[in-house]
Amino acid sequence: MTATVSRRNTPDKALFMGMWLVIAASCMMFTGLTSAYVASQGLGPAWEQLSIRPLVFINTAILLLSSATMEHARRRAAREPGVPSGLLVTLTLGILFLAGQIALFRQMGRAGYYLNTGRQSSFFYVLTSLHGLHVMAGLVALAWLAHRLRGSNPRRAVRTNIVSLFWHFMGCLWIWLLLVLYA
Amino acid sequence: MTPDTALHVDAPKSFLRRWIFSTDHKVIGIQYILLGLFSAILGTSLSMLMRLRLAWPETHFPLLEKLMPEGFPGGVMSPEFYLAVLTIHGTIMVFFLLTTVPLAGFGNYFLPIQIGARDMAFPVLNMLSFWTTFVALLVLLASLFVEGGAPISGWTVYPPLSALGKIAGPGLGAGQTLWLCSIATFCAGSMMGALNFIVTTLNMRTAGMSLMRMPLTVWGWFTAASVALLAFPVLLGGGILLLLDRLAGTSFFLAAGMVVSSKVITRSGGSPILWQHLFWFFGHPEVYIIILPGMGVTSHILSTFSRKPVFAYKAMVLAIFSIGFIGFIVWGHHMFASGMSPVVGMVFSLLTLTVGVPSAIKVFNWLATLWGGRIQCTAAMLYALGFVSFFVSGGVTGLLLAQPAIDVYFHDTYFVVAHFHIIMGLAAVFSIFAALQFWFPKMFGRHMSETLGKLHFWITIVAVYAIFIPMHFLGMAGAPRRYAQFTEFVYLRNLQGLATHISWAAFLAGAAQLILLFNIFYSLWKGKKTIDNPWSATTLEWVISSPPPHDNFGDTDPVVHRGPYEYSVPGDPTDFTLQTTAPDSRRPQ
Repeated sequence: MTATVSRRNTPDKALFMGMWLVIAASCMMFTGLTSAYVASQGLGPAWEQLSIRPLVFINTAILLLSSATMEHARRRAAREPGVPSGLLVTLTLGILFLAGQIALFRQMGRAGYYLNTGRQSSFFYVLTSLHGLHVMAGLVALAWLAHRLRGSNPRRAVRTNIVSLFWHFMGCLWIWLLLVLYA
Repeated sequence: MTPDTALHVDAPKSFLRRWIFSTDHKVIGIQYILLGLFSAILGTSLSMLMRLRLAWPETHFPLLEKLMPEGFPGGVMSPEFYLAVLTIHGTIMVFFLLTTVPLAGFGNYFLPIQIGARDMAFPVLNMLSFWTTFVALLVLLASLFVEGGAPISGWTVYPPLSALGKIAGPGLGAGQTLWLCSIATFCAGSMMGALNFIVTTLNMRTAGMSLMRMPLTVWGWFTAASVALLAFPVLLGGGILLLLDRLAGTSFFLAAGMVVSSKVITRSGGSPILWQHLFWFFGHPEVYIIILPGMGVTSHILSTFSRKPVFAYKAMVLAIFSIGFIGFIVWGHHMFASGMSPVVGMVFSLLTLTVGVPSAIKVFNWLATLWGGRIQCTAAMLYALGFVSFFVSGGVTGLLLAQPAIDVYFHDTYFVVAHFHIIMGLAAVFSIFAALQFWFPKMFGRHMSETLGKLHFWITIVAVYAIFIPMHFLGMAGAPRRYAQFTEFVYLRNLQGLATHISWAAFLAGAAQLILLFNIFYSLWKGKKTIDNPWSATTLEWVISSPPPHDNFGDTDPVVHRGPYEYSVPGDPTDFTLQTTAPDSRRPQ
């Protein structure tokens, strides 16, 4: 996804704008789904809130920590050449988060909550899986970024900023889902 | 940044890169238009089949039985097949013709040129958008050829019918699943396209092309793209839930206590109304995604052929924007009959009526643009006037349907069918006709025939009004939509003649499209050759050669000095002033 060369087109700005629009579109999808979740609560008597599991806190901590390491890497990348170690830590934490989510799914399954058990657990699986797919896309972006940051390219700062924007969005989105699912 | 001389780019040499997997916005625009042309032919043919069934419900057609033995057992179309035809007609027309051609087709071709850019912001993404849409069409067509055929749930695919699988009816097994996959793919393609349009408009305007100097076409495409970017994700989300209901045993849209095909359905906990909310939250903005580009094209053409500036340009821009915005908060008016609380209904009703204000501003300004102009009745002008006509005649029935007390009676009758065909179908289709006639010389270097264009216009507009005006009366009499036959309703028996009349008018309208097809293909090779600016118009697409070179503006980017519609400027030697004309260079000193 490279922008064309034109005097008026500033590719960096275009990429930034594009990323914000991706985030906007993604927000709309989750707005639709979380609204559906909230509306579904009023549908029948059999609504029981999912109880929060300790693993949720651990996964949340991992994802938020990865946002912090991303920010560290972003600042480092602007100053010095090469792949900042913070980026690799972020990548690892991201993979760890997904592994944690899968472990959470297994815990839920053992407790008898499957995708088709009831509205609560259906929405739980749909929302967290879609978030997980976004995180996976973010991991691909992180890997691409790590590949691109070897050496010193004049566009390294911009690329890092764009990927980190998406990664921070993953954290915000997760908090949003936590509040909707458990608050 | 880059020196001007380095800007010149040649077209790729290989056929595949130049015409098939092209990243050139002009080629991609034409690809979208061809996809739309195919969809239009298929969708129109399907509507002919429906009209055949409605006018002569019990007549045997041995030829059709031979062609489609499953759909026409004994030569009479089965009601289920009628519903399948109806579903595919609606889906093809709404998504693959009306959403793609005005926005992705003409928008792709002309938006970059009209703002002075050499391509879209993300050319590769642009190519991906088209091919994603193409795959979506293939998947939809595949649903015609699986066991049970195409789904019978209409283009709105309401659950529970659409959520239960085969048990609910023919086409609701694999056909419905493929339908959902197709539309999910289409969502992805549209979102990529919309993102590209927005970034291009905001980021790639040439020197001097401020927002308020953009042609109204660009405003139309930009706003439609913004609406698309925010509306399609919601449909995608809803579609995922519906797919899970079908494939994974969830019950998002299924309430307890259903008995379908004599079987008790054990799923429970959800609500079919939830789908309606998700669907129409997308569905209503979708209507504006379809119509906003048409409004832009109409303003553009009315101004050009009245030789006058667009009346109240700023009000037009504000109207476009407010229509796009209000479109997001009126979805409930599709659901007045769903049992919503009267208070909510009243709120949605008032918001919906509010859309009338910017719409009326637009109509007033179109008429004021014509007023006192030196009107040139070209075929493109006629089509644009047709758009205005449909927008008014379809809009006034919208005001009736926006009121719950009236809508509860009209809901799901032919009154609604007539309303949305005029305002969404015909208005948008006429804007496509207008755009094609107007820009054909720029795109292909040859004119379409004016005589054939006018002939096509007059036959079509008379025929389609002959279809849809009487259809309102059918609706007022209580004829329900989506029924294959009305002979069983005692109160509708004396209106069967009207149904036959509508069918004859539909066949005439369908046949008239052959004139257009002939005109397109004849003119591609034999049409009158054109010059750079055949209509003496003012915007940037008329500065460059016809057809435009691969890199649009060559070595130098254009510089814009004035607004888009400077016609008949007092003191100027000609009655049009190009946007690139420097101030004072034209006036005698």
